[in-house]
Order: sequence, then C-alpha cells, then structure tokens
Amino acid sequence: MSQIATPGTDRYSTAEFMAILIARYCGGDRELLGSGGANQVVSLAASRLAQLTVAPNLWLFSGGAGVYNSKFDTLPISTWDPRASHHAECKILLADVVDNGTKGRYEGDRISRGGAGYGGLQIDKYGNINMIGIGGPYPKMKVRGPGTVGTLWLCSGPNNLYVEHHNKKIFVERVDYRSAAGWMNGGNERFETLNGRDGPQLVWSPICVCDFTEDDHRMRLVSVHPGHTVEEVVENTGFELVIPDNVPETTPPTDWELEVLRTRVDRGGVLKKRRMTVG
Amino acid sequence: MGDSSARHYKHMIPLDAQAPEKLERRSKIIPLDEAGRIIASKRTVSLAGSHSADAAMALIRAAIKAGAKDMTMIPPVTASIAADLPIAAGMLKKLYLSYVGFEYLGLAPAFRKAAADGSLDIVEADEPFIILGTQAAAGGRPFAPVQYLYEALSIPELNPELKKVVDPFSGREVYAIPPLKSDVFIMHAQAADAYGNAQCWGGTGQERDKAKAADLVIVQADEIVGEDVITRDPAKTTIPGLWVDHVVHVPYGAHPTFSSGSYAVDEDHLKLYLDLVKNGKAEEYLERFVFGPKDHMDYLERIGGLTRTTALRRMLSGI
Repeated sequence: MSQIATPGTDRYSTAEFMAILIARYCGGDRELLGSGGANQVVSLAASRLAQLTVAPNLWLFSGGAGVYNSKFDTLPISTWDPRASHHAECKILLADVVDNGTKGRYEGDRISRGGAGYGGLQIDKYGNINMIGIGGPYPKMKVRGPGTVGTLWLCSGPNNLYVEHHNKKIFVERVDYRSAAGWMNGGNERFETLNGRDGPQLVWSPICVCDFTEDDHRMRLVSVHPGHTVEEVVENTGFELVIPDNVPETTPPTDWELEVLRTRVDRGGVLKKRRMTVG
Repeated sequence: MGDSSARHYKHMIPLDAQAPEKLERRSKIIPLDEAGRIIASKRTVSLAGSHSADAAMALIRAAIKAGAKDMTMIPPVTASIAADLPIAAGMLKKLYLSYVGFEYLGLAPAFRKAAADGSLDIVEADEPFIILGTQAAAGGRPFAPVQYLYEALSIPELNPELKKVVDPFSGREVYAIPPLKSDVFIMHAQAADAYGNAQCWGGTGQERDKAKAADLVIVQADEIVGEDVITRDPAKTTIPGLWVDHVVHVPYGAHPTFSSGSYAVDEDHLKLYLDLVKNGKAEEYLERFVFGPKDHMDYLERIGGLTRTTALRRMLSGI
C-alpha cells in the first residue's frame, strides 16, 4: 500500500522541494532549454524558478501550448494549459517540436536540455522508459499505457527522468516495452545504436536523486531526501541500485527558495497540494 | 562503487548560494563586421526572403567585405541580388539553383557570366528540391521523398544529387532529395529583441526550417525592440531566440530589396547594379557599395541617406 511521500515537515511539500531541486540543477549562465516533460507542473515551476534566480538564459518551453518563455506567476495546471502562453515570447508548431526532437542538437552541443524530463509506467535500472503498457503478450496487456507521445526525443540527446511515485511497480528490473531509450542494456549499447548521442543523466524521485554509473550506466543513488532513508529507497526499488559508500541527505530548501517559489512562481499553491507517493 | 561525478551535485547547492550578484540575460547583439567575419569563415550559407524582398543584404555585404570566398549557397527559391551580388564578388563556388534573376528587370548578369565561364558549380535544383531538402535537414531526416514527377523532366539527368529509391508502400521508384544542411543561416527581420526573438513581417515559411537546418543562425534586424513588443503576440515571432546565435542591428539592412511592411524595394538602385554588372563594371559597384563604405551607416549615406530611405518608406503607401 502506497503512502504519501512527505518530507517529514509541514514547512514545505515534496512537490515544492522537487521544483527547487530541479531549479538548482539548471543554475548557470549557459543557454539552456527548460523543457516541460512528464508531470509538467513541477517541471514548469522549476524552469520558471531557475529563470528568476540562477539561470537567466534558460528558455522555458511549454510543450502543450507550444510557447517559449511564458511569464506566469500563478502556476498553470500543465504545459497544455492555455494560460501557460501568458506573455510568451514565441509560439512554435508541432512540426518544429518534432524536427527539434528528432534531429536533436547534439551536433556541436549548441543547446543543452535541462530541468525535469521523462517519466513512465515503468523505468528500469538502465533508465529505459515504458509508456506502452504492462504485461502481454501485446496487445493483451494487464495495463494499457497512455501511449508513447514524444518520448522518442530521449533518443536524440541527454535528458533526465522524473517520477512522482517511487515503488517496485515503477522501478523495475527491465521494462516490458521500451518506448524511450535510456542506456538500453547498459554499457556502450546506446552510444553504438544512437550514433554517440548521450543518454539520461539524473532521476528525480520524491524520495531521492539518482544518476547512472560511468561505465555500465546502471542507476546509482546520489542523495536521499530529508525524511527518507537509503533503506526505504532500496525497499521500494525493484532492482539493485548502485549504492555508494556515502549517500548524503539532499540539501533541504532554504527560506529564500520557498519564498521565491511561493510569491513569484506558484502564488496559487498548486505544488502544496500535489500528491506524490512511496511504496 | 565510486562517487557520483561532481557535475550532478548542483541540486545540492541552494539557489541562494548559486544566485549571481546580478541576474542578467545575455544579449546576442554583435557588430555587423564581426557577423561578416563569422559568415566568411563558413562553407555553406543559406538564405530566406523572396526574390527582391527581405534579403539579408547587410550581412551579405559584410561577408563579402570580410573576404568570403568559395562558399556554397542554399538560396531562397527565388532570389535576385542576394544571389547575384555574391557571385559578382566571387563569394560563391557552388549554388543550389531554383530561380536566380531579376524578373521584369531581366536576367541576373553575374550569374549568367559565371555559368558561361564555368566558374560556378550550379546544382540544377528547383523549388521542391530546396524546400523539401531543407525540411529534411531541419528534422535530421536522411532524405525527402518526392513522387515520380521528375521522371518527366531532364532534371534527374542534370542533377546527380537527386537519387532514386523504392517507395516501400507502392513498390514504385521515387526520388530522394538530400538533406540541405547549412553551416550558417542568415536572415533579415523587421524586428528582433536582444535575445534573438525575431519577427519577419513577410516571410515565406522557410525561415524556421532554414534555421533548424543550420548550425549557426544570424539575424539582421531593421529594429531592435524590447520585451513588450515581442510578448504582445508570440505568434508574430518567426524564429524563437533559442535558435538564434547572433543579432545584428542594421536599419534598412535589406536595401536594395524590400523589407516587408517597412520600406520598398529600391528599383533605381537595382537598375544601377544591373547596368554596372552587365557592362563589366562589377568592380565599380563593389567598390562603391561593398568595400568602400566604412560601415553600414556610410552605406546608407551612399545610397542617398535619409532622403532616399524616407522615400522608400513612403513608397509603401503608394505616395
């Protein structure tokens, strides 16, 4: 039975914390595409927060509305929410999205992608994603997934993975179907298959942050959020995570981070109510 | 197993600790001569605009002045002086040809001469070749298919870059146009902000594809505008600034071509160009209008200054 993932304090919610973590990751002077991937409200909030604090050259893309750099201070429901177009700088077409997603920008590394990324019904130890379904044989699945949408873009360049529920049904040894390629079967397989294009970098979970080992590209624990433990992460992960000797606690949010988030990004408190679970 | 690499630890550093003293969005504006040197350092340049409208003439002149030589050009499907002047100046070694000419003013003189003396490698392309090939490159696709129409033409015999492939659905042979990628795409816009968001008030729909198909994008703008103008209507932004590398501010930068909604084509100037080049005096034109002017403002003086540019603006209203 899953439980609400809480940080063990009333000071902030897990969703607020994740938005802040992702914003921190985007920090820097470089030009960066802050993309609205899965569970887009946290990603939107993170990109806007980063823009306002540490990443002035981040381009916030609201995929569902097709606009760059909207300037909301009350968080839209998702990137398809037409309110996500508020004071945007450019509207593009789906054909542009598909071109950029398939071509990628890895040649010359002109545009790097930051922020949140892709989620799925299942994510495996090499960061592959399944949005197609669980069980088989296809098409007789136990759970018919919603479909693959634009997860192909994960094949064209580096990105991150993002989940709001950490349990053994989502974190599985091997995905039943691969709708987006992570590190495939580990090692160099991705580089060989996809012409050297880089793969997923980080995994944002409501209880921890993971990355991938340099050689095998297996998922590795980086830090565990306040209110949670390494044991809890291990218990709720359906494969053997690489656990370094020292796993630090994820740095909790500062008062300033929470204030900027609540007064300039999410005045409506959408992230306070967002439900995330563990187990 | 070893520790995670340090680059992944940024999520551990609070925003307070990362926040720069002054949060400043980077301007992409560079001087015209610098843009010229960048273009001249590349091999393949692509252009937008239509015929004698919205050509990135200031950038073309700057590239010639910076010594651009032996380049390949992917022009718009119709071009006049934007293709002919670079040929006159020896900037081009290869041209993807769809239409180069001056329509009712006559054929393109430098283009004709280069074709006759064999100094220009002309790819016998056409409108679909350029537009669909650009689209293929824009999406990183291996080629663009076209149905059997070319079978009825001489083009497959003349253009070795056009190949045949079997359509897996019908089993019939069809034609494959290669992806037309460029090193640099140069574009004229009526307005742009410092971050690269660019408005083309005319535009033919090829601007975005050419931008996506290029490694580098340089926009020249008649006017630099603020955020209020750009955010008033995001659908008016032709190219998002994310795709743009450099912005150059050149009022009347499309001269002598039209700038949609802003000023008219300078037909007298085009006639002067044609007259000089046809009569073997291309060097004279280049000296007066490309190499001679010390900068863009000097160029504007040489074409008649404020009197002339004001007249070109007024011509839009037919007065």
